[in-house]
Amino acid sequence: MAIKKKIKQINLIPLINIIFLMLIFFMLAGTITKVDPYKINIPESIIKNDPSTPFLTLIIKKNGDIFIDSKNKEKKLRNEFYLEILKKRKPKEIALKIDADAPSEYFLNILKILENENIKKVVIETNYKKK
Amino acid sequence: MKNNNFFYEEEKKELISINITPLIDIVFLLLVFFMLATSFIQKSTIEVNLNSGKSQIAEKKNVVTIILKKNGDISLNSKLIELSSIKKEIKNKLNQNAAYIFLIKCHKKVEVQKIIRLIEEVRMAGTDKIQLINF
Repeated sequence: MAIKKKIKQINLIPLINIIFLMLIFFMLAGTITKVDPYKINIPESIIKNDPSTPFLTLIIKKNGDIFIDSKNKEKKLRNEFYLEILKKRKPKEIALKIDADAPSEYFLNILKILENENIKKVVIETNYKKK
Repeated sequence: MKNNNFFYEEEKKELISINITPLIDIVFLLLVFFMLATSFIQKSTIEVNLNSGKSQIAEKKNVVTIILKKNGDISLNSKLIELSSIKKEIKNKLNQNAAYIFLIKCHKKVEVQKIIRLIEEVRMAGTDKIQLINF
């Protein structure tokens, strides 16, 4: 009986080896990213710069909706409200997460507003893609 | 007697073996987590200068105008140009005068992606003096 049982058993060791290898690969090669609830298509860039960690991130969707993301609090904002927030918090640096397909008018409007609010540094978040 | 001993040894062996099924379960769970949570996309950023050369643009002094049309066509000082050759053209301009400011006039409806690519090409040519306006 015991011999019969032994013959039926599948050797799982190679499977475990491969799974361990895959696990190590994903742990080392990938980076854990925060899930973006806004579903925006980030623009691509061919220049690699270090990703910034600004105090405030403004998210601009394709239809022009603006969201503010700071310390994990997410809020949909009407145009008049995000100005108030900018005035209250007075951030020196702001990151823009803008949809790649958004019309440039939304982008330039927000740049104009940020300029008027004396914000010195604005960075646009992109996905690096080798040329 | 011999046969009985044989079965006894087999039973002993089975008792010693470690059950690795829970280990495999956990490793599978970890694998699924890392496969779903990790991304191989490399993040990058582009800095936008909000005040570079504004006064000079007001004076229309040393300004090179780049027009980005709705369909993505680019023209440098009213001359239609390919995106791939813009870097070379800008380098030539900078060799003539390093103080040139590049004014990018983009159509209201042109996609942000196209503006970003254009800014990158201008930056790669070796200048940071870029201003953006809509038309």
